[in-house]
Amino acid sequence: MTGQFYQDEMQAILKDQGALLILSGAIIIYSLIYAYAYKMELVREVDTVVVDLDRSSSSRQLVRMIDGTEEVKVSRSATSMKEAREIFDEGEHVGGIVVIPANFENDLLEGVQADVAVYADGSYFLIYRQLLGAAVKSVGTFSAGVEIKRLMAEGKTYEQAMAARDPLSADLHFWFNPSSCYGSFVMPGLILIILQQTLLIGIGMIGGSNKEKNRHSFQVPVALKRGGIFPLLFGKSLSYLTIYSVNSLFTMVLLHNWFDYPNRGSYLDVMALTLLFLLSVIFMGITFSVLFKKRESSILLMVFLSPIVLFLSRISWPADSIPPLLHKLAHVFPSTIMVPAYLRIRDLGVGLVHVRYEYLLLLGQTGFYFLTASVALYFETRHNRKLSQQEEPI
Amino acid sequence: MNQKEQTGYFRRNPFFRVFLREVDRMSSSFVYLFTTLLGPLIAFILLLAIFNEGVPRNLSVALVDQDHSSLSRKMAMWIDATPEAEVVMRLPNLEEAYDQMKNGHIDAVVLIPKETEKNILKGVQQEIPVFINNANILKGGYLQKGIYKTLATLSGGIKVQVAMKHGLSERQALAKAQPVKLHQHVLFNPFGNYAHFLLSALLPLMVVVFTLLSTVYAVGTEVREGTGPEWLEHSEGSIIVAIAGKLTPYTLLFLVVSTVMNVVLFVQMGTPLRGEFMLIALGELILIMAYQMLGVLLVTVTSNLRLALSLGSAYSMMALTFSGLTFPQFAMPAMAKAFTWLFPFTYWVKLFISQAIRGEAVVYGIRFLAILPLFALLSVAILPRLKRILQNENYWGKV
Repeated sequence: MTGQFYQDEMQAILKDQGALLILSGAIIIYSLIYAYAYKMELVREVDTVVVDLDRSSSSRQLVRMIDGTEEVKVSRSATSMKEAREIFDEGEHVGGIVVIPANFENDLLEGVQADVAVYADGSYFLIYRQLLGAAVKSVGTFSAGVEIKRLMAEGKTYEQAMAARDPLSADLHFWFNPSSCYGSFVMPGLILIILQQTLLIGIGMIGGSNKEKNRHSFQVPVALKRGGIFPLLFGKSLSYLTIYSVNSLFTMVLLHNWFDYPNRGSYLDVMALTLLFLLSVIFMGITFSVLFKKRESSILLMVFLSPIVLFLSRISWPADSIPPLLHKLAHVFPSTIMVPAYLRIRDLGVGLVHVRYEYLLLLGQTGFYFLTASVALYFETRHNRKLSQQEEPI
Repeated sequence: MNQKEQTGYFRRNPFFRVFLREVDRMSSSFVYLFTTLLGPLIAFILLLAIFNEGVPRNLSVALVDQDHSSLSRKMAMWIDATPEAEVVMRLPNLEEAYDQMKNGHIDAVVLIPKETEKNILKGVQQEIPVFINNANILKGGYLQKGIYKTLATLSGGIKVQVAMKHGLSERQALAKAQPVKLHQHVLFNPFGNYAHFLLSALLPLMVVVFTLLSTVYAVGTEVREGTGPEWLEHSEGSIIVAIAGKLTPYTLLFLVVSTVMNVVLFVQMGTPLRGEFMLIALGELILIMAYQMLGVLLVTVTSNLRLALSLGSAYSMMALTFSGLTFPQFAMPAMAKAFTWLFPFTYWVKLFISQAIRGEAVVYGIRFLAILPLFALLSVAILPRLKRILQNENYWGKV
């Protein structure tokens, strides 16, 4: 029985260009395009204008240090702030201005605090962050150098000077993703969201179209027998699971390898979690597909939710900052539970034991949607039988 | 004079006949209400709720205090007091902290080694190891900034205290502690935080997504249900009038939506408005019309409603990544850079930055506005094909 329903559903998918594009083409196209787009990772060598009003060896050294950072390139110099501002306003790519005041070297020699100013373009967030970061880093290093020289001139040893300069120093370690790659940070979670959203839309499309064509002629009598709904549910689910196993293999294994995304966990754990996730999404999709009268409705109602579900899954926005009620409501979507657990397995390399809480939650959710999907299918087939009886008055 | 004569005019004029026909169609189904008004408003509310906080606050930090001194207690208090971090647990060793991080309970660990206070008093430099989970670079970045700043401030305070003990004035002590000070200025400081920055792109994206999808649906349904000939009958055979009359109700509704968006952006969020507002409003109108015409184009090219919807949703969503707002255009590889020009959304983002944030001369803004109608022209060029599709039974009801 299940086999017959499986074939039916597969054929329905293959015949439907729109659904086929969503269920298989979209994954490949989306994930490749986004992976390529996020490969850009960081903005390097932001063009910067320097106004050196001191023109001393110290100021030139500071300029060289700023130029030496990978974030910034000193591309132009100006003689006044006014001129720098003109260059900035004309050039589309200039990220900001650094001003070194007159008397810079003098102040340093006399032990007076010298001021350096940086003006960063706030209209592009990334540029702003890069320039500011580079300025803080190079001025900090320069300042430390001056201090150490001074302390050593007072007769301290290098070690003593270091200690006196910074009695308490932060020794930062990054445990995971130390290179701060944007792609490795956002893509693994994004892949899950793409899988979920396309699956929900795709199932909605097929479900809606079944309703339109009302072609449950074969399914009706069998499905309404006691327990008969289950072969229908299994057949449907298995066909989506088949397609999405291929999709998962492509995105979670191949794409991960090509773009060097983190892969510390064992594949067995990843599989155990992904299987549950896919099942939960499929049952959820089948439950909701009953609600769509037209096959287009699923896409119209679901598409705009994709970026919202992404943010709700805590990939790029911490859960603590989301209103608690909204975060609870977001648990309707399997991704909300799946993403944090999945990322810990893949990024941090933990075992299933460390994600047991999420695993159980996901298991519960899958069970819940299994029940709702069975109920939904039961009522749908009963409804369809009534319709077909009305149509065939014999 | 009267109503009768007026309705008479409206009944005779082909444009209004199509317009009124569309209003009738729209009131017949919930889908239209959702894609034009409800959907965008729900999206706005959800996005605003998610980004309500502005910046991530109070990320979870564990403290491993092996010193148990007054200094280490002070350090813990200071870290707890930074807006970015909150000390949620104290653990005896690093192994346990590592385990907690694996369980997802904490995002950073600060280790205060034995003898920290003693070393500082002796004048020996003391390193404070900090371990940050950087798998989430946004959280990692905030934590790095917060913890680093706290420790640097503490360190600076100790230095100034030591220098003042040696008889320096506070000003001298400060100069000694930090020979060069960096003053940070932001040009066009547009947003206090990253959330508002994201919202300024996400809200218009939602308008664009719904505009495109509702248009594809409205036009595509005519092909699917074979109502094309009747539609053209209302417009007296003119495809131009048919399209104009059909799309105008949507244009008006999306103008309402974009007005709501403007209120949220400029009044509620306080986004600066340094340039010409009329230019931004005009840009929104033209952006909406450009995406409407692209919707017509999609239906015409595919002659398949669902395929057009699938392509349309991908095309409209991707506009965000390639708009150059989240990642500046000039830093993209050549192919991606070329790609950015294919989305009308890109030009609107440029117009928005030019006129709202930077307040450039109107001429700069108009450049971007001038490109948008080209997308619409592309669609007008193949309207004859749409007419054939609408009249040809072979295309109907297929999907």
